[in-house]
Amino acid sequence: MRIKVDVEKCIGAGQCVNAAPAVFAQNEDDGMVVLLNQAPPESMAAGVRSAIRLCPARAIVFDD
Amino acid sequence: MSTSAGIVVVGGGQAGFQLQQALRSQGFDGRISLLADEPFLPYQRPPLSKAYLKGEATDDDLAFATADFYRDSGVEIIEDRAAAIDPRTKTVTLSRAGSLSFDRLILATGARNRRLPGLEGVHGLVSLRTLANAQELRDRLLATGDIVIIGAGYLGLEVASVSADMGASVRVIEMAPRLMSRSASPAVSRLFQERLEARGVRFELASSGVRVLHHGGQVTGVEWNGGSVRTKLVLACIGVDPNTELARDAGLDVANGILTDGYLRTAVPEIYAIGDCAAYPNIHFGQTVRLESVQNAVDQANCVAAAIVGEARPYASLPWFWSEQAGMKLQIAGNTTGQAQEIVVDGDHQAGALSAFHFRDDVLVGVESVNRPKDHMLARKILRSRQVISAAMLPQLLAPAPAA
Ligand SMILES: Cc1cc2nc3c(=O)[nH]c(=O)nc-3n(C[C@H](O)[C@H](O)[C@H](O)COP(=O)(O)OP(=O)(O)OC[C@H]3O[C@@H](n4cnc5c(N)ncnc54)[C@H](O)[C@@H]3O)c2cc1C
Ligand code: SF4
Repeated sequence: MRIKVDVEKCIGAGQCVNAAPAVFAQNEDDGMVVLLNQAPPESMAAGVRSAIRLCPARAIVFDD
Repeated sequence: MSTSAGIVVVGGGQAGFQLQQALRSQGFDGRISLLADEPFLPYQRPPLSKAYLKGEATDDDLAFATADFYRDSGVEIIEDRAAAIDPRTKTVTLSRAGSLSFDRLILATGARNRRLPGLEGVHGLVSLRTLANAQELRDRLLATGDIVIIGAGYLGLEVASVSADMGASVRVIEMAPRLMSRSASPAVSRLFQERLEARGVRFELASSGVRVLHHGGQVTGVEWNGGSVRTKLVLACIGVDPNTELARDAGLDVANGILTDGYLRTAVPEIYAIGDCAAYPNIHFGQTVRLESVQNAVDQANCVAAAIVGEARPYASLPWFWSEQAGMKLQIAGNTTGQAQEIVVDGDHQAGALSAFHFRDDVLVGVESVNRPKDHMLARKILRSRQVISAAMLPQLLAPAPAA
């Protein structure tokens, strides 16, 4: 799976980091999402799907 | 912790969803039942006035999780309403059939929109709280291409913004003389008004005597002292009332919310209240408050889940909120609800990027940021740690850090 994030939409809720800490982080300064892995392995797919659903700003999408 | 009767959560909204998820992720392996009375799996509300209305998200996208998720984590979703609670026998009676006993009960019943009186059943008068409401609003908006919104709070303005971007003719009628007057500073109100007007939204501010006109069961227009407009679609965004009847009938204390202590417990220690329905002592505001935000629902759910697995701590999260209008991102941290004695605005009105810093007794209590996420994060850090910042210290705080 490939994913991308839209920093313009992100509001720094951090839900993604809780759901998939190996894939998402938050920038120290502005709280915006940082994508650590654009093509997370299948083993992390459940966490990533959950992050996409939980993000209240809908800032994470599949990139296909 | 393993218990016999288990946990019953009333309400499958943001708070109820988060509670069951937090319990499982904190290792709770007992029984969890989630009572959800809407005809959808638990879903997000914020996109209803944003991406969903624009047509950029489907019904299915809004769900927090799919049915497999609940099955795999052993959470039972019961599509029914809680009709009554007996705190003595620790049972909840369901509306359709049966009852559930509980070790702990979490009330996450949310809030419902206030209605304009005397207009029940009039077609074209809509409200926006649920996915069903959003479906109706979107269908009618696409059909009429015209909407009148009563109330210039966050919700009304988000809908105004999206509707204008969809090409609809939009008019917003508000009693107060400015936008979001309850919690936004005048500078922020002004910026949003200008940007929304530039996108075609028309405002009727300081309007009193607002009255919805109808004929033959269909909305025909809106009238106020000083003007009137014809329309087939009116959205009333005039605030919410917390769903407290269930708690009140069970003998719990309610007053604009289900009253709790600093641990979010009601007077019955096995019963908690969280999210939009709960009124609790907020340490940052120094008073009892009832907040309506994703942050509040999520953090309260996490706090109660921790207490249930044995790590009770007073609820102390810093309130924050966001809204999206006219292509701008508004983020609010702390308390900006009008009790500040001094507001300092920093930024660039023309560029649409500014922050308003609210001080009470010369101590920073809240910050609104428009397209300035760094200020928002800084505000969250300062306010969370209860650092004392005076207005005089602000310039230094905002100065860019020297290059390393
Ligand atoms: C259109 C819209 C946009 C929003 N945008 C934002 C935003 O941008 N930022 C932000 O921070 N917040 C926003 N909010 C607010 C946020 O969505 C709420 O604060 C949040 O949903 C509160 O969660 P809750 O679980 O307490 O209540 P709710 O989400 O209201 O859930 C309560 C649920 O309990 C159910 N229920 C009630 N009584 C019973 C019963 N007796 N038995 C069974 N079920 C029952 C209700 O039907 C409902 O499904 C928005 C809200 C709306 C409506
Ligand atoms: S969950 Fe969404 S809004 Fe929150 S930090 Fe992640 S991407 Fe940003």
